[in-house]
Amino acid sequence: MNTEAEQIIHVVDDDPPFLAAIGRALEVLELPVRQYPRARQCMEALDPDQGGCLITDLRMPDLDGLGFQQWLNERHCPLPVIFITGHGDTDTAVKALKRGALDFLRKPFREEDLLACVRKALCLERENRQRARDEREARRRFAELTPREQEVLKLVVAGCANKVIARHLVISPRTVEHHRKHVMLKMQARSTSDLLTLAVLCGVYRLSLDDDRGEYLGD
Amino acid sequence: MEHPLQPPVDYQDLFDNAPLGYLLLDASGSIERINQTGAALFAQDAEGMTGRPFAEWVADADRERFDRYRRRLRESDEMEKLFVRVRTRHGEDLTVWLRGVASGDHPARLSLIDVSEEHNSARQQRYLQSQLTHLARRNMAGEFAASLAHELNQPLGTVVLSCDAALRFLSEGGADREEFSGALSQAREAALYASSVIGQLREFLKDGERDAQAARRTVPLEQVVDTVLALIDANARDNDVALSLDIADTLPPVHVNLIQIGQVLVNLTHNSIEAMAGLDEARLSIRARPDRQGRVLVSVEDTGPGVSADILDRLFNPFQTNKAGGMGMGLAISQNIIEAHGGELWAERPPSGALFCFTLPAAARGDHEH
Repeated sequence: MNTEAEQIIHVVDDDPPFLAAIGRALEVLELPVRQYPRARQCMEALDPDQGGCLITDLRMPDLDGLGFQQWLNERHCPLPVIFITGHGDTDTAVKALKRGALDFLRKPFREEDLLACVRKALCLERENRQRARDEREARRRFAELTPREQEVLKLVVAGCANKVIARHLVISPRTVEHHRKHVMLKMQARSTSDLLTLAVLCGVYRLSLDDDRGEYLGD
Repeated sequence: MEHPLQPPVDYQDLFDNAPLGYLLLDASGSIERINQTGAALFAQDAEGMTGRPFAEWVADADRERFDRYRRRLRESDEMEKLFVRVRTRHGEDLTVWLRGVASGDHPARLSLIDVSEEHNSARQQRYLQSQLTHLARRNMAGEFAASLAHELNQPLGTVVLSCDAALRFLSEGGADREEFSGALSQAREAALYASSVIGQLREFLKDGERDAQAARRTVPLEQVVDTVLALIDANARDNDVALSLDIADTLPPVHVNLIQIGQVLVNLTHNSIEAMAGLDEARLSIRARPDRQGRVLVSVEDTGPGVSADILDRLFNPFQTNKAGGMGMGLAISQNIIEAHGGELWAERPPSGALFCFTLPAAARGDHEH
């Protein structure tokens, strides 16, 4: 299965006609939709590396929605969860949202509300997944730098001029220049601002508007 | 054996300082004598109370009951007992237990015990009990409503989504007939299912009503009132409401479900008592008399703020309430019960207070056989 390119929508509800109706509504999105009458069946089928989102009834015969959510949280499953319910149980809704559910739909709801909600979930999931992939890639590139090159990178993104870096590391400005070229090449950065983005992505530089912004994070 | 010389018994001292309050009441209800223990309950001394009517210390709401008690005392040879609320000189309210006998023309002899503490804890218990019952009832209604909501929202969810899909197919124009009719027939199925849920609910309620009808008995109205009088009386006394009861002797028997009509009476009186909370003059009267068509007309009248004209029309609608935490079902259910019995329940607007009336048809000859 192509795990990077596509998103899958998972729907869990114990009422077959409703499952069919929600499936028909989701056809608009032109994405694969998987339907499950039970939470357990969905749990067995979920691939943690697969993108998409999950729509589930809050009350089901085998496991309630909150239990399902907890199961997902324990497995660090990044899929956004949309709950649906036929009850007016606001307490459970609040609890679910506090524990990280993305949204809450109360039956009966309109197709456009469902679609808006799912589009938001898919968009968020795509961004999250993209960011996670970028972070992984940035960290991989950073790990390939020598320890000295890593030090130079941190000082460059902290805004230090070559002369300052040279004094700080007790090496010549020419050597700094040399390291810097390698850093740019290995990190595949076309500019210093590119390098800054990569430094933020791999967590060696923190963006902040506080006074200590640009702080050198050390090793 | 040598007998020491005993001093003569001081009966005056024995009377005055007995561990119980003692009291002699003359025929007019005035205190002929009271011992110091008795007077001390009222934070007075015996001399200050002698010669004055005992009713002066009885709480307003209990005056009528006390007068009836004095009549009973005079008319019977038995020991007569009464719990009555009194007010001390310092304005403190106490509940005392009177036990008395009167023989012939002698003044009535009574003992007097302060039972305020026991009375308060009993009142507290009764209050908690009624709160619990109320809560349980509301919870049941709430759960019932929640599960009904789920049963209906489930198919309605399918109806809305299927119709939206059908509309989308229409506006896009690309969908084939099969897809279109598939969505529509699913909406239709779900709507039919929702209607069957309502049908089942109707059957369920009908069964309940059939059982309630089967439990009807032909009884005098007094018996209906008696089943709930203790409850209403306790509720009235706990809230400082004077309750009066006036049931005509000439009433025909009625054919009713005792519990249901009792529920109506409890409901109407409870509303009245609640509406009069904190009022100085709080009187509640239950009256029953025959009306012109030979039906039994029961009225519940209070001295509360009454029903304002603008809510009079909606008063009997379900979920109509002015009470915090109320479900607004009481009057709706009461009206249903009375109408199921072939009677009517309505509210009137007297110059002051509230007046609720209901009628019950006289039991027919055939009713006796049930």
